[in-house]
Amino acid sequence: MSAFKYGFFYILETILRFVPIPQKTGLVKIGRPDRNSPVLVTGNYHLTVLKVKRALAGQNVFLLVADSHGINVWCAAAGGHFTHHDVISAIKLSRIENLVDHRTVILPQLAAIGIEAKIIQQRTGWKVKWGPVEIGDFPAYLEKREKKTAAMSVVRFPLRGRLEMAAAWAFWISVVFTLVLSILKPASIGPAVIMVCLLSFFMFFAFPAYLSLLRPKGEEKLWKKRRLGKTIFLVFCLLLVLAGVLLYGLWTARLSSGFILFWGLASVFAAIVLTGDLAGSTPLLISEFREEKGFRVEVDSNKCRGDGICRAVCPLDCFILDEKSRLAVLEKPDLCIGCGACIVQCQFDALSYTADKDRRINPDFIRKHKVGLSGKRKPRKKEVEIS
Amino acid sequence: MSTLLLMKLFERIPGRYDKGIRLLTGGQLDGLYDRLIARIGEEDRVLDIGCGTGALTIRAAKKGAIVKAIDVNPRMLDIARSKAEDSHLTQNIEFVEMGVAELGSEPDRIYDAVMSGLCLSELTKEELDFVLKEVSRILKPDGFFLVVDEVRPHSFFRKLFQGFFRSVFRLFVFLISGTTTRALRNFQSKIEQAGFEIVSCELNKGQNLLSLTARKNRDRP
Repeated sequence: MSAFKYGFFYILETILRFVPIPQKTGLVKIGRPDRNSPVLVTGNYHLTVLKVKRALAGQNVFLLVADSHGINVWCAAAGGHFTHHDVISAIKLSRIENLVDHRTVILPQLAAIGIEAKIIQQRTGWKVKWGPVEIGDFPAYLEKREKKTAAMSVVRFPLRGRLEMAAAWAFWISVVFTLVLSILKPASIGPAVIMVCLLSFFMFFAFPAYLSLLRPKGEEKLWKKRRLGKTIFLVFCLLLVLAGVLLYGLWTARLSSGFILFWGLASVFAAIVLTGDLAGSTPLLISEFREEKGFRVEVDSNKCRGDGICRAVCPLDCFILDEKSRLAVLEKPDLCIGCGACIVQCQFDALSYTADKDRRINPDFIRKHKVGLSGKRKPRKKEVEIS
Repeated sequence: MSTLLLMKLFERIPGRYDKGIRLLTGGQLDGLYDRLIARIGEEDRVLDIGCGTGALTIRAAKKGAIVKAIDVNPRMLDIARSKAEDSHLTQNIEFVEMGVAELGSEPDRIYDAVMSGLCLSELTKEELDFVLKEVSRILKPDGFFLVVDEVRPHSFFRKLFQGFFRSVFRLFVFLISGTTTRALRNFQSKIEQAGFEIVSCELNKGQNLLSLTARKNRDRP
């Protein structure tokens, strides 16, 4: 694929970020794979497959594109749209067992949130290995004989990722503004779109500056502090926008009370949409749209056998293995986004979501219902089984 | 009925799935399902592919059939199980959480009928091809393949009409449920190529909901 074509799809699908775009499923040979070549699985989101092929150029790999319903791997796995059944289907129907001598399949680490490695092994005989978070790290991962460095298992939110997210939000909010203003005030569409873009790009660009406001220490008051941090930031954004509006009004000499009211309301609307689930728009914080706010991940040291799978699949590197006891310890609970990958993968059921007063959501229930504190998929209240 | 896309919404909340589907299909699905299982008799061994909340499974079990019901969604299976318990049919039904890719473990020629309601359209192309092949293998000679599913209409205008509505619905449904469906294409010819003889075939007015009864060709092994 030419760089131009890739660039076209990259921009288009980055803007349309929240829409699923399915790609053909099945086996793809990259380079000239032989009987010892690694077998890699990915989801069938169009842009994902493009990115994977691009990152793997020059390697010799079998790529299984499994059915994630046109959604990226992490979101699909969290939402229950990409499960072990899709992987089993990709393994069995591609007849990959006739093409290689080994029986190890490498899955994207972020899929650990919704795919049970144990079931894949039981039903297909294939062993699951959790690959790097970023496909760009894959060549280095292969060079290290399929060993991950700590950096390879951590989710980041670099400038590029933030700008991608900003572009997607700016696009969708602009669509809403365009639709509404085309009826009310067509002449203001242009300035409104510019305002939305500036606000959105500013918020995501400045994210590292206020990350600590949204991720305070101390679990108990986390949510109150989070709200305070967000409010401060929201007010700050609004002041900036209003200053911009005033300047714009002075510059075009159209400053009037109606002008200020209109742009004031428009910017408040845009800022509220953007900050509504600001945390959930980043991979580093817990979404605010969830019910189980009191719950957090907890290790039961009586059940833990120290096999370290929690550490291997944690996208924020929260776990350590205690040097003396060799048991898992949730060393950085403040960083935990409660995605639940560790709970799903632990074969000893040593992890669970636990709240005060001994309320606990069991691992089996979490696996079945894809309960995740970072996602929005959650069981109805009456379905929550608490023990 | 591009609104069938909306069933994706209800799948997210399995508890509401049945009511939702009934609403979306204007009740026509119940009638279709009732007629579809007309060929199933007492003591028949039946496989339900993608049983969901058990609409077809329960109907077949009520007629005395012994049903194996498979689905990949454990929450839907839970609802199907509790419905079976309510109707005291648990002895006749075996629920298994598995996908169609695992049908290879079923023995040859053991089922009198295989049925599937609104499931085949959710499969990938490879899965659909595989299912047609496997169903032909596991059915007894003269066994029936019973299907109700969403198909793409034949007439140009219907296609255009449905295409337009689907694209609008697609976005809407996706925004809420995070997923979407695809309608089957050329299903009748695919099923004939797979070695079935179509016994009866019923399209709804909108030309997009197909109810089909096919028999395994006798000369097939």
